[in-house]
Amino acid sequence: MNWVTIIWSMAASASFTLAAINLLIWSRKLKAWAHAFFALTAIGVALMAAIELLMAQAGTAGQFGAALRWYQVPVLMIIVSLVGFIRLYLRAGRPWLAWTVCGLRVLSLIINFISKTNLNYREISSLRHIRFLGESVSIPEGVSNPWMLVGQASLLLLVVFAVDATLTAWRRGARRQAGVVGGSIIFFTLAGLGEAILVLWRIIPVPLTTSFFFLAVVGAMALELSVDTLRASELLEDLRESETRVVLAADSANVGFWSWDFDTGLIWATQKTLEIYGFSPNEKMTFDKFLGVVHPDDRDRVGNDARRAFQEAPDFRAEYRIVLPDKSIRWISAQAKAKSKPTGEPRRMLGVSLDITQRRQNESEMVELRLELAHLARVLAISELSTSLAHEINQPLGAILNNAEAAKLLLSRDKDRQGTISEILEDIIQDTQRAGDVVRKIRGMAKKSEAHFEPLPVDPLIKDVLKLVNSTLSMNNITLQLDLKPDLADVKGDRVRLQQVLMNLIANAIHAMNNTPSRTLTVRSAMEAPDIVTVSVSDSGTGIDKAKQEAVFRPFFTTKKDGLGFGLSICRSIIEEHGGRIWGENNPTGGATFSFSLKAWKG
Amino acid sequence: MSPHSLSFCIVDDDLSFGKSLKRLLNARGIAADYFGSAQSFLDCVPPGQTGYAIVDLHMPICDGLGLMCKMQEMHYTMPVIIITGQAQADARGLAMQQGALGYLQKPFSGESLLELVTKHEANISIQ
Repeated sequence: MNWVTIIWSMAASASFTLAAINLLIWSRKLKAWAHAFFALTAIGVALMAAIELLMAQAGTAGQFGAALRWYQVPVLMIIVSLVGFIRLYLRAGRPWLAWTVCGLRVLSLIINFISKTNLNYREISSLRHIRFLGESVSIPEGVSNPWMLVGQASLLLLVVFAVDATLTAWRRGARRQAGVVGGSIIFFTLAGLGEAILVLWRIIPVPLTTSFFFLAVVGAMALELSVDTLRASELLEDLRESETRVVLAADSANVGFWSWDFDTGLIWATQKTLEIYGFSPNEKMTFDKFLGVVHPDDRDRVGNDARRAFQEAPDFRAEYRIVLPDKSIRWISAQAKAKSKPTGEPRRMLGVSLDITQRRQNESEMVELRLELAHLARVLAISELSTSLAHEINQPLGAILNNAEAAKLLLSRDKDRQGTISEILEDIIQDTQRAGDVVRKIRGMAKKSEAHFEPLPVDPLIKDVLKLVNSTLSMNNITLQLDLKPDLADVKGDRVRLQQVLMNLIANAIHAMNNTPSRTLTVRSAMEAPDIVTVSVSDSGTGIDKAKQEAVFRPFFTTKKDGLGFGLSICRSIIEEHGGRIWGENNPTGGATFSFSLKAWKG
Repeated sequence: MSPHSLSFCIVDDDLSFGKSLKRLLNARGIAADYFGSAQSFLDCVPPGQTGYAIVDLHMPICDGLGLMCKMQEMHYTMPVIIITGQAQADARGLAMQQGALGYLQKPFSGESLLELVTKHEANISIQ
């Protein structure tokens, strides 16, 4: 075994290995141009070492000349890639110098290939064999080519370019990169240049070992790049940790976290997400599977919106239903952001999903309750109106009827005028009766719906209504005080009608406090007697005018500018329908209290 | 039984209605007095007086049912007919339960009023 073969082969293969690794990195991350330049340098060094070995073992002058001619190709590769690496990695260096270096080197290559022998020798007459590292190696005898100055000038310029770039990087503060990369390039290029001059101008008789100087440069560059790779992996670690934190936070907020890859159609999802959508743990989620879970009525809308978010709008936001394996329906709210590739094509969408079934249910229950109350309010208002109308119309109708009848009786004694007048009066009687019938019919049409009595706990009744008015209370800066006695007996009542009563009393209370500085609404419940439950609503408002205390419950009585005056009269109708009592009084401390009492349910 | 032996007391806060009913009864040759409130009736008519009371259900201060209660407390013997302009579902039941002779909804004809009375008189004479 001889050392020259071993060492040069090792140098070549080490360089190839480094080149391969960095080419792989570059192929994954096309933006990592520094890795590409590094790989190019390393390949150049490997080729250089291989050709140096060929030259050392050359048998004839012709073989040596040809090898030295091809030697220029890796030299060009190394110099161009070093220039590129310095520009990219140190982010410094004058462009004109860079172009000049590369230009001179290309010129050298051209001269190299048009010269008779190569760039370095005009001619090689013979080979001399000398001992080197205990082995016989070939070195040439011949005439040096003066054109090789062009090539050596390019190397010198490379050193100048590297010095300038290194200083700039050093001043900028990137000292380690400048020291290791810039320093080694300067030092070893100079050393290589020195050796080339001494050898090629035939001052000292040794074989060319330039590849080793550049191998040192490659080593320094590899060291730097691996530091970067190491830092990247640390960053990755940090990133993973922060991702874990985000997922944990999302889990604890019951939020599902997911990422949908557009190309593969796969959706990476946290366990929470899988749980929300009813997938089994660790199940692979895809967009099609996801759409399969979405309620058929929402499917097209959600699918189209999501695809559109990928193509046009980066933001996606949707509320939709899903059907779980057990056929139960859940409401989901999802929000996401789409990311696109630099080319503008969709890449992936990052998003969160939240189960909002409970919220939706509460909302829809509230809406239903409101509708029910509003409907009842209308029905009761009409009923109340017709009741009042009936009374107001029946009264005069009754009088007309009486008068007409009386007149008829009186006239029947006056035989002369009997005919015509009694006919007229008869008509009056009939018309009056017809009017009475009309009123009766209207009354029939507007008949109240039947009340439905059931055993009713008072507490939930009060709380349901307070839910409806809560926002109004806070909007009006009203403090709510609850004084609800526990363990009250259930009352005999119609839920919706009693809610209507409470609603009216609270609305009146709020209205009464429009112009008072201190605003407190108190709702109380208590057992008045063993079988009577009383609920009262107190305000800190203006109170009831003494003279009107009786009138407030009458229809058409109102203190509101836009009021119809049915509120309390409806309340009274409802409470009387329940066999209860309703009354209003002024508080000793100001404001008014309206109370109603109801009979307890007797099984 | 002759109508001329009959007499009525009308208690109604609606003056126009009260007057007209009195006029109608008078035209039939029946004696009738009109009172604008429960109190004025109690003030003017002694408990022992015969005849019939026609009482409006809805009156301020003391309504028809309230007057009936007072009349019972004060031992009035006069039967009471409740009249009303309002169609309240349970009012008829309440009135009859409290011992009213009848319940008429305005407007009603003189015939229907007298029918009630005639029936009652007939019952008495049978007894």
